[in-house]
Amino acid sequence: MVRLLLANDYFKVSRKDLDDLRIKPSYEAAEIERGEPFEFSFGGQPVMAYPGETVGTALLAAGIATFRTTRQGGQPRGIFCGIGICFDCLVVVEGRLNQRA
Amino acid sequence: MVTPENSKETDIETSIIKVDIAIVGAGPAGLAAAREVSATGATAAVLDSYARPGGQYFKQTPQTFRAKRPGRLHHDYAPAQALFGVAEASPRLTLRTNTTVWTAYGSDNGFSLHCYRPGESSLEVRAKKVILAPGAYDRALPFPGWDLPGVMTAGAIQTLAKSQRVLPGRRIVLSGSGPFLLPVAALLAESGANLAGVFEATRPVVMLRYGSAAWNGRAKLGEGAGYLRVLRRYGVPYRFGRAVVRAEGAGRVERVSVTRLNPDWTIMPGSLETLEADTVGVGYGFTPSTDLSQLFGCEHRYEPTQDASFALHDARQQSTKPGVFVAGEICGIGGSAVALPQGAIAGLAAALDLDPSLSSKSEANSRLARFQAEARQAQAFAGTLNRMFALRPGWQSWATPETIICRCEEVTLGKIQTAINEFDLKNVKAVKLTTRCGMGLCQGRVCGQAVSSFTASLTGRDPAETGSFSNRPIVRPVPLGELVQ
Repeated sequence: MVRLLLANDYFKVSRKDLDDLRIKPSYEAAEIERGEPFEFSFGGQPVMAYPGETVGTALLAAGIATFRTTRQGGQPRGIFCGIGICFDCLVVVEGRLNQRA
Repeated sequence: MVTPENSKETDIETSIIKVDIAIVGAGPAGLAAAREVSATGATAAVLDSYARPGGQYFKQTPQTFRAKRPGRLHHDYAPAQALFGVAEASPRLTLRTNTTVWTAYGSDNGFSLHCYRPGESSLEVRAKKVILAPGAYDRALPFPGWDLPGVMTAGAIQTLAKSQRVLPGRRIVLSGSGPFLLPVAALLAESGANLAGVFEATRPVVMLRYGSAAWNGRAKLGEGAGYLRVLRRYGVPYRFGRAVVRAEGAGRVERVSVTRLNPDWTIMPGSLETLEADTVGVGYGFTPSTDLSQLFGCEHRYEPTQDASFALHDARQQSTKPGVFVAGEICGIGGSAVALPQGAIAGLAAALDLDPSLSSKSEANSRLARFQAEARQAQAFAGTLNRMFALRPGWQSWATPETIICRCEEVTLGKIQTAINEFDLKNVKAVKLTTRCGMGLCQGRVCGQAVSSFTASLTGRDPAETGSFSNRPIVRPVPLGELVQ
């Protein structure tokens, strides 16, 4: 479930996520300006994301490294190749199976 | 002209575009090809899986990030900007992003490329010539724990930091071989990452052996020196003859074992040290994406120094299949310095073949010669780097029988060893059929070279003989509905 956050909500979320893994403004060489953040739910846990981010980026930024477990061994998997080759990062997005995060 | 129309054969909507030349890949090679094609007056469609053009080398931040100074994230942004400009401005070029070619074939009337576009109708591109510029992806070597979350390729880390502007973890270690580790390390250091160490498997003495040949590429060496200065400024240890050979942790990487390597890359006994890290970036060179060139039936040759097979081509970048041109990493790992002129050659040559009465034919031919000289020079330097940083066979000793080799089907090295011994298997295809390795969603892209290497050494044969996984009519996973159409 995706919903836009109001500015006040964002302030509360950002307090919690102050230490997220997005590159800090003081190191932001390209001077990017992200759009309005929004929230989605991953396995019941609220995760904040910005427009243009991949699901994988938002999860990683929130400190979530495991996106799924394997069919046979039940082993954790997350981002590996980062460019759509390895299919390790598969998640279910709004009912659609096997989406690369 | 580009003529979009709807297919009459089926009820389900399939868009068809007809162009003179179809270009697969919008990286440096594909965009350079497009520039040359459009300058000759021919039409082209450029197809790319990603949301924005640029490929891996010129990868951009998402449009919604509104980067004010995108050039600061690139070593050499001017040529990228010029190429993006061509792709946008020329009415003869159709750029289709988020478009994945999943199958293709040639007939007497030309070529047909079928594309999958998530959330959109499928697309068929019909063209008289095809230029394949699909690039390459990181080569990762299997070691115990390489399947734990937190271990990712150096390319993944670059994409996350350069394009998505996010750090991959809180304490990072890089391990691999080759010049690509340096820009990734410098990018992390300049992005405020805690980079605990960069470990280059190749020993300095090997590098010195190629010193004089490397001098020819002093411009690139200067770029490397620049990255080293960044690492020194941020106090990042950069050490040679070492590698991460084990990653451990509960559910994700928590610590890694770094060891000194013998000249053949076997582990030097007694040299193991443990580092705390939550992220390991690994990059041992690159594997070319040859699935489409295999599908078209182009001939490939195994290159021992790069431990991969590349498409054969003539001086005009035409593959052994008439009408199919190849450019960039698919011809040999050489980076953008090789890909740019090779793409230009392919574009010019394909357009010249289409129209022998081209008004500016002599000018086009002299341009062709200039790009050929540029490509040869860049290739010579790339060849030196490839030999310098070539994989040494001792990496095979890092994996234990419990180590997963095929990440998709969870096939361990032990299972592969047992199958080869028990059934006296002689080649990679037999290993695949017996163990299921390479049968998963990645279609053997990640484990293929490793399985080939292990099979060769376990059977005492040459990797050129043990072969690779067979090519498939469907080169990328697509939803079943796409096939019905």
